[in-house]
Amino acid sequence: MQKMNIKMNIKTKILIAIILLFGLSELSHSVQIDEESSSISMDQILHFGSFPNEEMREALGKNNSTLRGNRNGLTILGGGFQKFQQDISDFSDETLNPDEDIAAATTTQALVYPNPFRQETGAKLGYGLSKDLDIDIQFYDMLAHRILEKSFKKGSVGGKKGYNLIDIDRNDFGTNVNLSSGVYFYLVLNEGKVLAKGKAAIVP
Amino acid sequence: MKKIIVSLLVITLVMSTKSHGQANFFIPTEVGTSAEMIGRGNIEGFSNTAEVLLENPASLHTTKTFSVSAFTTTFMDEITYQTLAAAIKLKKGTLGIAYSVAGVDNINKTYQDPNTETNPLGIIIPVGTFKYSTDVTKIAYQFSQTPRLHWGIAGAYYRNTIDDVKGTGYNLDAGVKYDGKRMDLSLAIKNFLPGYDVSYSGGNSNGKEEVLPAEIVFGGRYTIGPISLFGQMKSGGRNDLVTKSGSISYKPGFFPWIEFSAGYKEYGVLDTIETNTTLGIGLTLENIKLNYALESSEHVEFDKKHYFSVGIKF
Repeated sequence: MQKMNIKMNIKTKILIAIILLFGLSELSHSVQIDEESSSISMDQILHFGSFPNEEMREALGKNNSTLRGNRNGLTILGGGFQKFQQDISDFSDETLNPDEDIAAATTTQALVYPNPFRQETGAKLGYGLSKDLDIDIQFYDMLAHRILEKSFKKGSVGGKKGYNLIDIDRNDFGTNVNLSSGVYFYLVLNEGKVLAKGKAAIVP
Repeated sequence: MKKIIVSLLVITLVMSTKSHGQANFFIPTEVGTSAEMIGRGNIEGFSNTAEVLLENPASLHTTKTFSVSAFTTTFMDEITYQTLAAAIKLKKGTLGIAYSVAGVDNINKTYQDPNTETNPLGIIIPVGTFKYSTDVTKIAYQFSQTPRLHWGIAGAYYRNTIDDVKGTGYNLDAGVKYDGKRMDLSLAIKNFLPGYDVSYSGGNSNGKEEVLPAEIVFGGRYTIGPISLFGQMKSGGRNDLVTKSGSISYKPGFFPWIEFSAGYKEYGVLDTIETNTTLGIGLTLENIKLNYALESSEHVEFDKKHYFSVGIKF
């Protein structure tokens, strides 16, 4: 019984050794650590393991325990991975979220449809965003008085990456407020910075 | 006199109630008619060049022989306001004409493909541009009952063009001005003919109307040496509100051809009353008067509004 155990142990050890060698070889190809800059690109991290990009991003961004789990697992693979562990520890939110490197901007003209439009039927304002952003929409009348301000949270319709289409309803300007016909000027802002602007005309 | 003023006040207050569900027409002179009057808080009826007929036709009595004036400003780098006016003294009374216009170019006409297969995101695209323009022309006649009491009436013709939608309308203004020794009073009622509104044609606006808002403006000026104090109350108008203004102007004795002014004004934005302060400076060189006025703006890109006007008087 004892002998068999020893034999089993030897087999197990051999198996473990093979797995370790295979694992080391695979990891050294997948995780190409840049020795000079001591940094790992997001793409390299996303290719590590079998996580799809969005899943991995979400896991890294929202649940640090997943990251810690992976990190602990790597530590046992040897001293070569201590550097990798250190690099992961050094990840800032910026590294984890590639959108941070993208400038806050609109990717299309901010346009109102229909234009001109009638207040009672309302209109739509459409614009594209380079990434998720907190957005404020301001409307000014012909005397440069602000008559409407709408805010949209980052990631919600109005503040999401890609094309946003928001409704301009007659009651947005106040209940029972009838706007004079003419031109109204709108701004698309992020944190006080004007990303886009345009003109909308109202007909009676 | 007292009875007439009270009657005018009552009539205008009754008329200033707009029809429910109808919008009021935007008149370009709402911005002001000269840098001089804007510098003193948009107080109307106390300028002495031709454009004053847009405020109170009775105030044309200050024309000696001939007067012309021009005023311009641009807001937000987009909308330009311009006013031109001329007045001539006749054997009996004064005749004046004024034209005020506001315009915006390059407004995007747009299209949204409604097919969700070819346009799943609902993207709006530009397919051309159009223009907006609104103007008012007023012809005024002023006559003096006594050297201190002056009357005036003005016919106003309004036009509005938004792409292929066009609107026209006309109405009447009336005013009275009293010049006292130290105290001057000005009362004007604008668009006092009820039911004479702006009618539209073209596009989907065929047969639509906008109300020409009746407005009553009562103001006073009290002069003590180099200092003049102004006060004004306005009722009705586009926002159907009662607003007040006050200002002070100063002509230094050692430099009498320059005038400084500071004003406080209330104004309507939709259905609320906002306030602002204004500053003005005027330079009178012989028969030429140059004015500049400044006020703050809540616009995030353009936090100041600048106004320039020139008046020539013979």
